[in-house]
Amino acid sequence: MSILSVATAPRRRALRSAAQVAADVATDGTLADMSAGESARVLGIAAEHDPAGARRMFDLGFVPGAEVRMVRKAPLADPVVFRVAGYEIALRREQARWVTVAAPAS
Amino acid sequence: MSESLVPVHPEATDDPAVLRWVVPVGTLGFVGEPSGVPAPLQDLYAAGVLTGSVVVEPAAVLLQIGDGHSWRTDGPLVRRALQAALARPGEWQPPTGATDDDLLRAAVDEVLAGEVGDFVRGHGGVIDVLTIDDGEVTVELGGACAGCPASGLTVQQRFEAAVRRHYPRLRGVVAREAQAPRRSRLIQLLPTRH
Amino acid sequence: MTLDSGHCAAPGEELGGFDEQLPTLALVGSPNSGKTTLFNALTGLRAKTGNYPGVTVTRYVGRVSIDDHELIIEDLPGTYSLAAISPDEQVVADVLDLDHPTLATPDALVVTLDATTLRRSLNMLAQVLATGLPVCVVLTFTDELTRRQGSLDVAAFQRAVGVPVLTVTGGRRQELGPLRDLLVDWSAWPAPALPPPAEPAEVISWIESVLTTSRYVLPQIDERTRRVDAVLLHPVWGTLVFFAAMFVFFQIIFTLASPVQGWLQSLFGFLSTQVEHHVGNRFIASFLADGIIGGVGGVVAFLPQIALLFVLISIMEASGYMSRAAFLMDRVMAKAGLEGRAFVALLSSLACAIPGIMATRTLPSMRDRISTMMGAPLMTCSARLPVYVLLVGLLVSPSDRVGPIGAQGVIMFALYLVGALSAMASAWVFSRIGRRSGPLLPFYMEMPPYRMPSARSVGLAVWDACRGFMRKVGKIILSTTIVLWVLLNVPVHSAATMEAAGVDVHDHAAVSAYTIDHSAAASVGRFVEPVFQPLGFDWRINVGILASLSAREVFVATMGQVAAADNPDKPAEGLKHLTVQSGPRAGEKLFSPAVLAALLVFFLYALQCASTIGVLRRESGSWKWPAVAFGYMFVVAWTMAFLTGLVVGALT
Repeated sequence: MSILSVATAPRRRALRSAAQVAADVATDGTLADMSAGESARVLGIAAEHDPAGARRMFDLGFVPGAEVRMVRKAPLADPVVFRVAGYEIALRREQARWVTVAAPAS
Repeated sequence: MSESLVPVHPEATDDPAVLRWVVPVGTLGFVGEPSGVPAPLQDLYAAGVLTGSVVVEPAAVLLQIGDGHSWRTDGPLVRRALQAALARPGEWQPPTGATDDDLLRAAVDEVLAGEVGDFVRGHGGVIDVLTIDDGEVTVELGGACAGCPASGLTVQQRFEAAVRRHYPRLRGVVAREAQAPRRSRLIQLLPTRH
Repeated sequence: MTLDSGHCAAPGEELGGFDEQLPTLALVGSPNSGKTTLFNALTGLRAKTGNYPGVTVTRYVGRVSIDDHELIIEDLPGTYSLAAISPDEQVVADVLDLDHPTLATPDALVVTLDATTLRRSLNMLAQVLATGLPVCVVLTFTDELTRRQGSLDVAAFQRAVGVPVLTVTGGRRQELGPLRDLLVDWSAWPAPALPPPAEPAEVISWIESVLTTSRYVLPQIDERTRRVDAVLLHPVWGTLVFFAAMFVFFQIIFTLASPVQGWLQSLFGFLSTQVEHHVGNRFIASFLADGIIGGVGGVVAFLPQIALLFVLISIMEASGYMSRAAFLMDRVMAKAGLEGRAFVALLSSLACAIPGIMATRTLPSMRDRISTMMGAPLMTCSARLPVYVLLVGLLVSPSDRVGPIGAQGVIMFALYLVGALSAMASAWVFSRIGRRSGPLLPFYMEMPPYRMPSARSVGLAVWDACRGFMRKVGKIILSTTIVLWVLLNVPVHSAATMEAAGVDVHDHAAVSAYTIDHSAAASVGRFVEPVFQPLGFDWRINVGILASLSAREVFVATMGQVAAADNPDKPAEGLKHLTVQSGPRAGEKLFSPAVLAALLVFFLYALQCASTIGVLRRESGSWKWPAVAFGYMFVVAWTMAFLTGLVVGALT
């Protein structure tokens, strides 16, 4: 499921009610939901069970407002390479799920 | 993005008690000493943490730490207050009689004191600011710049680009060369051959 | 983090000789930021290694002379943050902690920031500036920044951060003049009046402001890297290239090292023979030749493989390919509770577990390191080959076939396969056990742009690895060799005693057979017979196993001596004729198929290698893990050998 489905399908948008559109944008995806080549903006890190891990994601550049791009995934779908803060980093899906993202502001 | 803080960082000045807090260009639309500042900063002045007057530059706010306080201990407090104050630009009151051109003038002064000015002076040239009127700057290139075909356009371009960074609403820069009277030309026209 | 038993040496003591009165500057930075290249350029061969007290993190300290001043430079482990999640990173946090009870804090810090990843790197700088220590910044890869259409106003950047900032490219010694001048002047470095904020939202705003003022333009994606990765990380092509590269990697270690190893072995063999000819007393001659020279030769014999392995690994790491390889293998390794980088360590263990275990240094998680180390010895190393060849040759003849394929080949392949699967299973078990002792390290791995490795850094890494191996592990191997030599050659028997027993003293083989049969080792062999009886081993095989505790291939030569074989290195014929001396199987062939199969499986699992124990001791930091490894492998070996013997016995 591409989290950009709202932003990249304007025609469909017109057929949906304003409430539906608002609901869609409010439904945040995570890094794990992105497909290759997609860009998104980081909303936050949701990893209450592992504060050290959450802190590490922050230190790696996954800060609120940062732009992230999904570059590629490994042959067996895990791990996944993202581009953030000017460099590329591979994460396992497990970690990628911690970071909530939204479509970049147009 | 409304929750994110205004990006600021402090830089040293000649006076250890005064820090230049660099703020994004265009945050406050004026220069000089404001006649009024938002509550967060006022509170610090009232508490004696800050002293002296606030001085606003095109891309910075100068603040002076009060006696008995130090930047190291009270700096974080000042930073937060400043960021809170900058989040409400409408609550800053410009100095009486301030105009946009004052801001432009301050921007030009900064550019001349900075990199572009150093570049020109390094080559033995001189830039004289003739007029600043309604968002347009007229300058006169002198010294080694006068009569040098190559220098004219480069200096103009760099000067204009630098001023525009400090004052995005710049309408244009008009350049004249001293000693060799030529048609003044706006940067937007094609250069005439020498 | 527990301290080593009673050992709490001051840094100077550990490293032997650096004057603690000299100013100490420490290099701080993230991995891949060019920090170690800078360290090597500044200190070169004037660097010593040791350990930080209480942990197995290597400490690199070097000396630099600038004009008339001497400075000590310490290369701290690379870290992304002072909020540490691994032992390496904890060391950095501890060293920078002024209140730390044992670790001395440096006088000043040199922070390396990769100009191409400045946004992330500034987070680290903010944390370091908050410590209050004098800081200067070295911007690296600025040439790459320009090449990729990025830019930075360095003067504005310096004003914004408030500390001295220098750019260094390539790390060549000649370019370091301004940096060296700056380092000498460390006490005069300016500091910001106010350190950057620590709170996440505030530090983000600080970073944003600094980058805007410095007119930072983010570099474009490195075209070269993008094009190469399109192939090397392609699901199909990338995997193929990876296996080809691993094959070449493995072959190089196997085949390139062999001639050098052979040459070294000849050299030591020559020295051995010289000693035997020139030293009168036979006992002393044998001690010097087989014990000392043989022992030292045994240690030195590992160097070609270690050197080669570290050359390859350093190149892989420095160029950036290592993270690609780990990326491709991560999913597979994750099934064994490990991560992608463990693959290289396990692969290297197919040549020899010693370099393989040393290669676990590339793993950031201690838990992963231990789990991989516990599994690595189970990979079928080259020392097992002579033993396998001997035993398989006794078990099946070259002409036997399983279907269209030679039976010998099938058995060898099965042994390799079982070894690899057991290694993975063992790593999985240990990682599960380790999971209870601490939280899981989140997996992340930077994929840096491809960069040219510096020959200097590669050379220094190899030198460092070999030197460390010789000093620490060498002692263990040497002492084990000597102890075993003593066990096998003592008590000494005079010619009279031997003749009285009917031994022809001029028959070399008979004499060594008699010596071994009546040696202390034989006593031990008889003593442990009850343990090995269920497996069908008698005291003679036990002597072989005992002797091969130093190194597996010694089993062949020892059995040869025991069997009084004419050529101890090819004892197959002699062994075929050995018969069981007593008990229910008396008179039968000693090496029955059941016994052979059990012996093969025993050697597959048992840790018959003092060198491995030595390396485990060094890399894990205590005797606990080598003891655990030896213990669990012995139990598994015994059990599996017993079961195999039962099964094969029932089938034959």
